[in-house]
Amino acid sequence: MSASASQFQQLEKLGEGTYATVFKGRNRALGTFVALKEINLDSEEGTPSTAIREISIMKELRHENIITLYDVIHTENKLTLVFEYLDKDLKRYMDSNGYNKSGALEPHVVKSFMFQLLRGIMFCHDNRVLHRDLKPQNLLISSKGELKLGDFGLARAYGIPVNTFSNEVVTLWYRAPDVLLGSRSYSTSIDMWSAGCIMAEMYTGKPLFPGSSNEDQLFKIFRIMGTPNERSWPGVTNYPNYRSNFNSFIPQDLHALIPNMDSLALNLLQGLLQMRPELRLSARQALQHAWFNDYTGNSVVASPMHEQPSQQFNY
Amino acid sequence: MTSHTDKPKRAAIVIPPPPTTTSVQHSPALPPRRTLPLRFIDCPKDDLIVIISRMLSSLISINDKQISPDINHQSLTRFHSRSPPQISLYSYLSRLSHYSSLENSVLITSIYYIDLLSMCYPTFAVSSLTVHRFLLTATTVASKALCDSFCSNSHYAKVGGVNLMELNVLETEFLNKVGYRVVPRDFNHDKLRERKSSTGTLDTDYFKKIKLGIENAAEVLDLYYKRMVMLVGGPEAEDVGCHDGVEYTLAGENGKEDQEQKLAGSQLQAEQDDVSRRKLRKLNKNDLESENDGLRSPKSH
Repeated sequence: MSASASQFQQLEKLGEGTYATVFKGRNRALGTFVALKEINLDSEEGTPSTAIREISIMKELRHENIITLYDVIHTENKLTLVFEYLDKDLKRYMDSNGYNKSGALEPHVVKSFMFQLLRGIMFCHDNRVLHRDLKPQNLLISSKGELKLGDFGLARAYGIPVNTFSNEVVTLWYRAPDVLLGSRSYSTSIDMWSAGCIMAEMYTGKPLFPGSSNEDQLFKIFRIMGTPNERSWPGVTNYPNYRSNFNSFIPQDLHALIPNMDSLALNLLQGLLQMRPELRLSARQALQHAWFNDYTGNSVVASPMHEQPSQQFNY
Repeated sequence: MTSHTDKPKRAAIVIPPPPTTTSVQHSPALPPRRTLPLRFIDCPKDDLIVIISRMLSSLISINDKQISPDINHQSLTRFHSRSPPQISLYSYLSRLSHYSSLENSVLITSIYYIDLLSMCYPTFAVSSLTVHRFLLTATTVASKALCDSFCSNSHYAKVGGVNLMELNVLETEFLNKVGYRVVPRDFNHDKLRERKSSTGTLDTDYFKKIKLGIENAAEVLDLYYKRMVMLVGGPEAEDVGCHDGVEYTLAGENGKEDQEQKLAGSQLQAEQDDVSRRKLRKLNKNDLESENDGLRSPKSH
């Protein structure tokens, strides 16, 4: 925590969020690039909760599929987080690398990115951290094809029992149906739904469920996945936002929507997009899926950065 | 630090008279013995506040004796008041809890933060001069770090009776001193490893069994809770102005030895227990130094 702002030369703006602006920066001494996330401090609020969470959680998570936080620089009215720099986020990567300008990625690229995404998620979940905002804009891609999870501003350590769990989490398009229905007792499965949405989007170049409101989001999910009822999802009628007059849809064939997907990939996608949270695949289960067999033979499932035996948590 | 500028300009904690409230009232005719649930999340808030107040009072009574009345510049921290605030510890904590809707996890994390801050910033000690500002800062940070619903600093400052700018400075000071590592974790692990290695009996399986880091945050807090009940649950604990003389025990506890055996039920639990025991010893520096078992109330020796 000894860095000072003068160590870095501020370059072009990379993005602007609700509470922060991200610039590309150069370490003057080393010549290396960094990402500088600048957070303006408001006196009413003090240090923003998002910044406290992001820093406190990223300091504990060191993994090759998670962006490294190098430093925190605190000045009079500004907090600057110094992150490792990666070339672009997955959204921009799809826009510039998708074939025929469709944004769709080659199947082997999708597999590599999904594998890395799931490893990053598994590491978070093994550390009892929920990311709660997985989307292409928050996944960073390096020029070497590495994928890393970024933006932990909504993340939380879910191991600690608290009474308040917000359901205003995850960008709408990637938000799980149980959360949309008003669940406040969600867990790791919330991130797995987002992973499924991202997987489909990488194949087609388009968001799978681009809803415009909470209701429209549920409508778009039901139209493809089928409207849940007590038989397909026992207990669904007890969710606060459940309505008995939901339009009734029958599940569609995902393969018809995403024709360039092989049957194993489709099977994995279906496991991630389970409507019932308890049936959704865990990150560990997803990594053990046969679709990844040509990668590793499962040796990756025990994360090298983690000292404890991986079977300690079975999601 | 520029302590000479801190000392004379420090405003006193000013508590406006609270609106009519029930939270600080003393309940009459209480049974002399109260049983608390085993997990902190289930503990009634009022009882938890009594336990925490007793714990803090016993730490303060020890630390106040060790600190000379003439505060020198080296020992002065931003958490110091010029003189002990008028409001009692118990009333202050009740007030924070009530008006800022503090959750049990936030209250216990504040006690964990005493160890965390003392470890990262040895100049700090919880005393009658520092406890109020410390509690306000710790509950503010814990709420923002751990809970999905929390208030603005201007609200916390108003409830805590300090100026908003001062709370912001205290929050920044706290976060910087602990390196923003505010999710509870088992920070004694490194020392444990050192100790085991130096005795030459390093058992590598042991380290595979013990959980590390923030994934066991809930267990760390549960152990803090259990240890506090054991340390200050007895009727001889410090009077705090509520439920004084009441004996608190954990559910299913027939005596401390029984409790120890239950905790030692699994090997893993036993090891965590060991970590936690030493942690609470640290919390209670006198016990650590006097080779005591660290489980008795500080008042009893």
